[in-house]
Amino acid sequence: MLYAKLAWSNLKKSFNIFAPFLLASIVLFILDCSTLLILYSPVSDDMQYSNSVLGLAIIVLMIFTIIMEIYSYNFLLKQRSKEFGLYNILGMNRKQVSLVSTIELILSFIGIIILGSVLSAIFSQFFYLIFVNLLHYDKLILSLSPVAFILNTVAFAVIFVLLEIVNLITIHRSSPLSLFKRQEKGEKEPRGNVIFALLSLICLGSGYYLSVTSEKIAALVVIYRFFIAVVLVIIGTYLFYISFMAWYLKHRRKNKKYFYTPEHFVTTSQMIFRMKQNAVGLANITLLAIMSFVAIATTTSLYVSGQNQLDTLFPEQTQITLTNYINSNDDSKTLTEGDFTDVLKRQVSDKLGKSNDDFLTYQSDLAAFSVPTGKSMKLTDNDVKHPNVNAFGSVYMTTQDDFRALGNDTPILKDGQIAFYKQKGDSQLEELTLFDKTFKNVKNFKSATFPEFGNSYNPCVIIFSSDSELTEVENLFKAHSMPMQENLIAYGDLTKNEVNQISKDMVLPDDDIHQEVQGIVETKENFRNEMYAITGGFLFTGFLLGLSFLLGAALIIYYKQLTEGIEDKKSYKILQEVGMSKEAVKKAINSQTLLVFFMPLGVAIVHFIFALTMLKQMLLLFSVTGSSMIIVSGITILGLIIIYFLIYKFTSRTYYKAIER
Amino acid sequence: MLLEINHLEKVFRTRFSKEVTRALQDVDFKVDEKEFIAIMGESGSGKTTLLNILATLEKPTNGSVFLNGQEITKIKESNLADFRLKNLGFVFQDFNLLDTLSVKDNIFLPLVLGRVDYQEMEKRIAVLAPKLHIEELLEKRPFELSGGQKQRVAIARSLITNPQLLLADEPTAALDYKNSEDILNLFEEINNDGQTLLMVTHSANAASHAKRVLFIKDGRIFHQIYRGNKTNQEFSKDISLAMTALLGGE
Repeated sequence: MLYAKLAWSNLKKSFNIFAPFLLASIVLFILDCSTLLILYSPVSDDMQYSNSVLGLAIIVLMIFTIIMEIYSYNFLLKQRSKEFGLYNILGMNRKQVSLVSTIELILSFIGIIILGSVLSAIFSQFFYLIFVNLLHYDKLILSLSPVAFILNTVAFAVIFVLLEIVNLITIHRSSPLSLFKRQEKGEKEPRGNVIFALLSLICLGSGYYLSVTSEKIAALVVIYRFFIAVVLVIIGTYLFYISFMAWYLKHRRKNKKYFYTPEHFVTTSQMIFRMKQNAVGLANITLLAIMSFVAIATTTSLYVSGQNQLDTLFPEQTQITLTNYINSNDDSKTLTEGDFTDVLKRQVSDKLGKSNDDFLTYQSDLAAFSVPTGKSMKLTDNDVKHPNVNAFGSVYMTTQDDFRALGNDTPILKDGQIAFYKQKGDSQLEELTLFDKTFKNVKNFKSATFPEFGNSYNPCVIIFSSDSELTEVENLFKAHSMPMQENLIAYGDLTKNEVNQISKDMVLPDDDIHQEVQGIVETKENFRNEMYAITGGFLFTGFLLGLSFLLGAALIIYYKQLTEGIEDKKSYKILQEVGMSKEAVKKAINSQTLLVFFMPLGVAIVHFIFALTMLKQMLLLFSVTGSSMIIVSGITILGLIIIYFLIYKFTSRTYYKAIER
Repeated sequence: MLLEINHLEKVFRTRFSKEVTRALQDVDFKVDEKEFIAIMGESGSGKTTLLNILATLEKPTNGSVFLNGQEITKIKESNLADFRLKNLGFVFQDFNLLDTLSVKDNIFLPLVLGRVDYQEMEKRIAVLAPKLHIEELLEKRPFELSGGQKQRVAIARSLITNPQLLLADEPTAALDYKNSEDILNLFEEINNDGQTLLMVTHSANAASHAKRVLFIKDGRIFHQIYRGNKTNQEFSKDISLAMTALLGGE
């Protein structure tokens, strides 16, 4: 009972020491619990994609929570070591000290669970509103599932058991003397190893290089490269702070003209030690900041570009696709555009009392092989057997009339001539050989309209002079066992009723030509809903994680400012007594905190700028194109800089307070 | 006349209370060039307040202080740091060395703040280091030094600016007997070279190295005795006697 009383009064008296830990715990609890609440609400049954994205998010969040909780608790223990030492000297043995601190932990746990659950119930409604809004979903009230609360409480119980282990180990290791000893044991200078410093630059450089050079590489390969680059940059970042900065500062110190001036003398020498104590912390902040950038910028781009993608894919409200699959070993035969328009007339136009002219139609055959690069390219049997995955892409084929009908300014093509357009990179194509037949390319489009590009992987389009030449190519492909899809696409504005009327019959084979021509009807509205369900879920998750990471960074920064303020207090007092003016002291403090504070942000921004090329390439997988990524990233970074700056303003007050105390 | 202190008074008022503490009352004395003065008193006697005013770290309530004819209590706040840098040297009880700097850089600190040329710094330390027996320590870091070594470094730091007045605040309080003697003998040497010294202490032994001792109690200068031709030991005895007679008995 005595111990419980002691624990309770400790919590009350040292509340300002406990506060950051408690606050961090509660915020993390709310984030985790709200995500779980949404995951376990009825909405997620309807939203398959978002559900799995949120599932991933909760795993990342939990890992993050564990790390932050241990970090934060460790810091709390460090601050309290003197208090524990005092108990020890006053005659409490380690077991009793452990008991008191265990009770404190249990009391904190109960408080966090209760307050966290209540706040989660409130905040989750708010999160949910954002979530459904992004998903364009119509049920606006979140029903609170008890499972989520129970799960989150269990998860936090596990985390607190971990903290208790940390607690017991810390107390067990300490002796009253070591607890009381002044912290000022005099630290050795960091080594600033040249080899590691170089290695950090090499790691960062090669990571950057991988990103910058991935412009013309297929998205799938970019993903693989991305992971290598990420690992390199993480290693590089840690080494950068641990070795490179120390090496650099010591190098600066050797320059007597630079070092022996009031502006640099104090700052440089203090920074050398700061770097030793804080290298890992700064690296962590940098990585959290860049994770935050990436999470928010990519998911926002994905979401924003959805509208563009929709407009590209759907020039009109309804899209009807008629497809004929061609394989070599069955008796399927190739169809002419005329065959397709007949099917369209019978299956769609006649039923709706319209004519084919009411639709924008074009032929769009699809095969998958290496997208032409360079001046000439030959498609051979070898490519059919051993496709080159690295250069792989969706190759569309159409006729000049159809391509013109899509609104593209196309030169008149004669037989044997083609025009060409690809999404990625500048095409230099002059000659294209498809098995036995060679075509002269007369035009490489810089830009063109082709709706399917909106959701294709690494697409390009070959424009042939006539329907008969396209049919010839189709037959060639069939003869060489190159699978392809013959498609006729028709766009029109149909009412809901009309869509229902035709979509019932569309999937049936068309008896008249004994071919399995399949039809699919897709409406813009339907597609939009599906898209928002996916990209909205991504965006929500991106923001959730991005803000959590930033919160983690803020917490580390807060603790850093607090410890440094206490440590620096004495130095600045000495400096003033020796004859440094108050203004000069303030200036030195300022330049130091600014550097320590904004260096991680600066490094994160540089990382991010280099990563942009790669991110853009990878987002092509999701058909995010163009400049939206850069604009979105710019806005994201700006927003995060503002938040970061507010954190700085807030936490630097802690620093100044600690110094002035 | 190097230092002239006229009717100095310092009154502390606690906020929200009418209670008034007189830390200094009518303190009045003069210091000649090349003097070595010790100011003795118990803790709470006002000796630290006096030192702080001489160091321009605090302002007196009334009275004036002249250093070489300059009224130092009237110096503007913005010029104070510069004034301290150019005219005063400080030696503290707990050395106040920066652990982030090497010994040499610690000594250079005031020169760097005063924007002295690096060559000039090297020249000055080449003269100073042998005198203080710290040549071997220059490349070390403060945490590697013993207390006595640290204080010698701190003295080097205070002397490198060639100050008009060296102020020492209980410079031997954190040292053992032998190191204390070393430091105090060093002070005597420095003083013999022409440096004016003003030391605040509560130790009779420390004060016995000075040429003149002022006794302070309850914020007033009570008494002063000169060393004359006495040895340290004799002078120390005199100081102890004076202490018991004047300060000890209530």
